[in-house]
Amino acid sequence: MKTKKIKIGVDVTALIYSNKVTGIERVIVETNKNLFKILDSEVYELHPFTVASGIEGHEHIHPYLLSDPVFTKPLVEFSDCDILLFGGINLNIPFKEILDLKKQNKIKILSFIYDILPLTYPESLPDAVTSAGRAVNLSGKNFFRFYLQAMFSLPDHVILNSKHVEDEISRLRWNVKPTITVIPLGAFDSQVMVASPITAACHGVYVSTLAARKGHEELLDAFNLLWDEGFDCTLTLIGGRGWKIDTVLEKIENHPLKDLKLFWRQNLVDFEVDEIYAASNIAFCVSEAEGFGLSLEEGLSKGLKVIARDIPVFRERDYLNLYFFSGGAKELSDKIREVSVLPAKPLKDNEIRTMASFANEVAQIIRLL
Amino acid sequence: MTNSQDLNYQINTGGISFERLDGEVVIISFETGKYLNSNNAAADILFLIEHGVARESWSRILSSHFAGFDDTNSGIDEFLTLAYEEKLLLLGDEVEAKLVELPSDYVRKGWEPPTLLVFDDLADLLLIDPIHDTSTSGWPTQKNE
Repeated sequence: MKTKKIKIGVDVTALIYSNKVTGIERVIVETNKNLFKILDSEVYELHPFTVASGIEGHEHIHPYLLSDPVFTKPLVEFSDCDILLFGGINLNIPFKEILDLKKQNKIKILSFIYDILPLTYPESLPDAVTSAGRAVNLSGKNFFRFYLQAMFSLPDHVILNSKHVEDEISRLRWNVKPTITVIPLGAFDSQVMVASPITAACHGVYVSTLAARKGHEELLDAFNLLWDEGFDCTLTLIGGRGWKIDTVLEKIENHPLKDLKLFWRQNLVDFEVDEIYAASNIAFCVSEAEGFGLSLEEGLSKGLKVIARDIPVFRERDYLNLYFFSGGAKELSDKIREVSVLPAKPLKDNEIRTMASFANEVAQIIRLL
Repeated sequence: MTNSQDLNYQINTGGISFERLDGEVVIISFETGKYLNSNNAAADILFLIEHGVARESWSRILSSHFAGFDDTNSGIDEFLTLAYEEKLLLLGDEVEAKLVELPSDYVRKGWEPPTLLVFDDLADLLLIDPIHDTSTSGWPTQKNE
């Protein structure tokens, strides 16, 4: 007799609605790709669902999203699923219906929470506005609290990506009902690239949305010090324009070395990013706060040395070629000088954690639900 | 008609998610699907209810924390009525008169009537990720996919 398969519903509401590809969408898509391979297809089925069926999707779907084997399947009703996976940030949740299903023991819920930065760094947040651009009387911080409280109310299991975020959540002293597991994210490619040859010069790259708290200004100031001292170095910033970053953008736009030694690139496809990584020898993770900071593993997996800010979430990582700085622009410029003359030690494949490792551990939790 | 001063309330813990941070309470009602956000004074009223403090003690506690608190014109009854209608509160058993310390998670100044903002139609808002959402160019995309 054929056993009924366990139907896992993956919430793709945010993917349909935003049609954008930022870090979170990449995590969702890469997790789906890996779960699709890892979970036994004789036992599990993965399907997309949305809790906002009234919202129209985009006519032209972002090509990267089309690489997701779950997202591209026909939508199912969440009530037909045995397990619901909430990977994106989405508050359009029919609480009553889902709670009723939970009470009847018909459904299990797994959710990812990436960080609580809107609570710990509220000053770097824009206020909430509707998709129609209508301002509402709701701060970005409280908007996020709606999401966070929902994610602590409904799921059976919540996955965090760092011990640091777990500690921050503990400090809230909220009534957190679900089981919490910390599963770090990882690099998208499992194959570690060969380290670039040693050179006295520093060709630095920082892949991150240009936004408040990301540390771009300090990084630029550090390079200004190096350029003033005649140090041979370049800096390439890769990332779109975020929020509350006008001062930094002005400095970049008006910089005398712009497009000579200072570069800002946007709208790149992955192979263009890889080309810049290949021409670089140091990657930076200088954010003042992160829930995880994926670009750290990305930089290391591309064969680069990485200089990261000395903050707890980055300190959780223990890798070769990873160096930390603390202090301001002067200390960072000193660290760049120091690290630029060190050889990048060769790494084996899978020595840097990957998204496949992340998905493997998520799959273990799914099997236990 | 029953005076609301005579009623004892308790938090409808089974039907809502209710958490306090920095002197504000955010509430999700699982029964109505509504999201609610209180101001500081409302958060303190809910704290007193949560800790089983009888209404007769509230005036003394609030007077000691808020300048200009006037029990006869405080807006508390209106707030309690709204919170009850929104199913955040249930009628409860008699509670004891006692004094408690309010949380020191914000700076209290003059008394402002407790308010409850009710968001019942945030469909187009709640899909927006306020911090990770960026422009379409926020992250590299893949070639030929």
